[in-house]
Amino acid sequence: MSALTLELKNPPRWRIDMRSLTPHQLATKTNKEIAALPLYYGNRKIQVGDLFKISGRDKNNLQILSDSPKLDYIGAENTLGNITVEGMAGAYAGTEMKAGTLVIIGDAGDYTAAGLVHGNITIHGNTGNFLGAALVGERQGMRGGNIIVKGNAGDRVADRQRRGTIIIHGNCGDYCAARMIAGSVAVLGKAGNNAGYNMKRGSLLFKQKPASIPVTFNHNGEIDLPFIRLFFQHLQTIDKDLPLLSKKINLHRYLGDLACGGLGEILVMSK
Amino acid sequence: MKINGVEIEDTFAEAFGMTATRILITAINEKWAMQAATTMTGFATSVIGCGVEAGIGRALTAKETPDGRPGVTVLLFGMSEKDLKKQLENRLGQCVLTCPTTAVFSDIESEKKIPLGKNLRFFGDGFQISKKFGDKRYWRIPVMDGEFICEENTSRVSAVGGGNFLVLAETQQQALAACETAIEAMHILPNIILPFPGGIVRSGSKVGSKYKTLMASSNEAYCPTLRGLTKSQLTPDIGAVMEIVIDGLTEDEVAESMRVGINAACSLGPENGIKKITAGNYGGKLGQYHFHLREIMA
Repeated sequence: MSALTLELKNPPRWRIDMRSLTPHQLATKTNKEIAALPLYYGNRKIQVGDLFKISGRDKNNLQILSDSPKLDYIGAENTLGNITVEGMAGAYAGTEMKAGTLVIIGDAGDYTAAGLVHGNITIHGNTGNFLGAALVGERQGMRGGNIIVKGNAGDRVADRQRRGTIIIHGNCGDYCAARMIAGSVAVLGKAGNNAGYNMKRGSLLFKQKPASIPVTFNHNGEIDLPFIRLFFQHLQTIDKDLPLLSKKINLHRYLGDLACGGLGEILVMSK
Repeated sequence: MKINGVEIEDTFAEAFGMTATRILITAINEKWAMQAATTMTGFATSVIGCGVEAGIGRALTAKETPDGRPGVTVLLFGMSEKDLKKQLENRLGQCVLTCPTTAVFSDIESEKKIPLGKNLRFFGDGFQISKKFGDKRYWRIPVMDGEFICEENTSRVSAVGGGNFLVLAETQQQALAACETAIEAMHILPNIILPFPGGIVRSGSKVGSKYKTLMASSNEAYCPTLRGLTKSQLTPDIGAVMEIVIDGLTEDEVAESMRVGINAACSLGPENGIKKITAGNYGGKLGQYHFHLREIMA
């Protein structure tokens, strides 16, 4: 049985709210019923069939063919199944997702995986700002699950993150893991200014030293801890494509943010 | 029934239901992982006086452990969840936390969780750090050589304790040699421990005593020096008896270890003084598991 496929008929003029099109909501519906479902298109409601060509029957595997960055909330609050976006996703992809997988082959917009509760999200392209962060008005960012970004991420990655793991193969912007409550972030490229600003707990692993670390972090030394091996092993378990991280490396460890208790850490693989 | 000329008595070993856990201790090298495991499993021969029966499972290579360092598994068997929890935490705190470079992980899964580092973390005095990877939570406790990493919980499973067999030989040396041979063969089996010193008990016990305060006392029926004084089970050619006690995670594993051990002991044969294999029981009234020697060896 082939995956349920939604293919954009034409590039949309307005933004589309995709949050009602998730495997757990479509599980019992026929393709005809799906085509008749209401969908917010800009500030008005239209039917799914007006925008998408629908094919395939496997509701557990949803495929979205999109060449537009205007498809927002793809996979938001999803609780089961797999969603694959062949192309670009808009903002808020995978927000508050509770289970399942979301794979975006192209780029994703701002607030991708914001408030993620559980499940795995992989973005093969780049993401915007606030990856895995807290939604506006929320006190916590992602609370579990794993996010892998093969490209680059914008500013404020993991803002207020509570739990879970983010791996970024490329670069990330400023204020990475700012206000982090706990959790793990690994950045294999470059990181911008003020990484870890106001973080309470959590672990940030950088292959290169970020552009700046707040002055409220203290250098803890160049050390080799068993935890680092455990951390590497965890990262490689969730991301099979991760380049092999050496297991005998001394990392520079910075403790902070001392303005917020100082139980967080920034681990830098090379100066 | 005879195996290699050694008589297998038509009797059974009586074993008890226990609760057990398996943990994994890793360290900078196998020497220190083994040191922690050895220290932790010291004074753990019998639940009667030690609270728990414990032993070393097997050594793991760096590729097999969660933190990529060499490790050793330890099995602990208790009569109740309460006993097991108490002994596990005490031994972890005094023998593993204190041992250089070690880390501890759960090595068994079930729905019944018991604390591993859950309470031990308070040694960190507020500087301990929690880390959750997947479904597992780890505690990082700052210590003077770096960090002690400890998984928050381990699991406990139903287990079998007290599988046994007795080797009856002409001399003390011959009984010891047969038991050593048996133990060497049994050590390759996973999920069993032989909790007594070197795996061997020379002071097999019976239930009760003439002294009211004692719950167990010497098993006079198998003491060669009491032959002629008590109702002895020993024929005149028996000069020494030694027992091997087995705890295992399952009934099948205990039975298999008994089979392997008895076969190995019998391989020495009567020409090396091995006369008979028997087993200890309490008439079948106390233990829920009965291991009939002739069924196991059939």
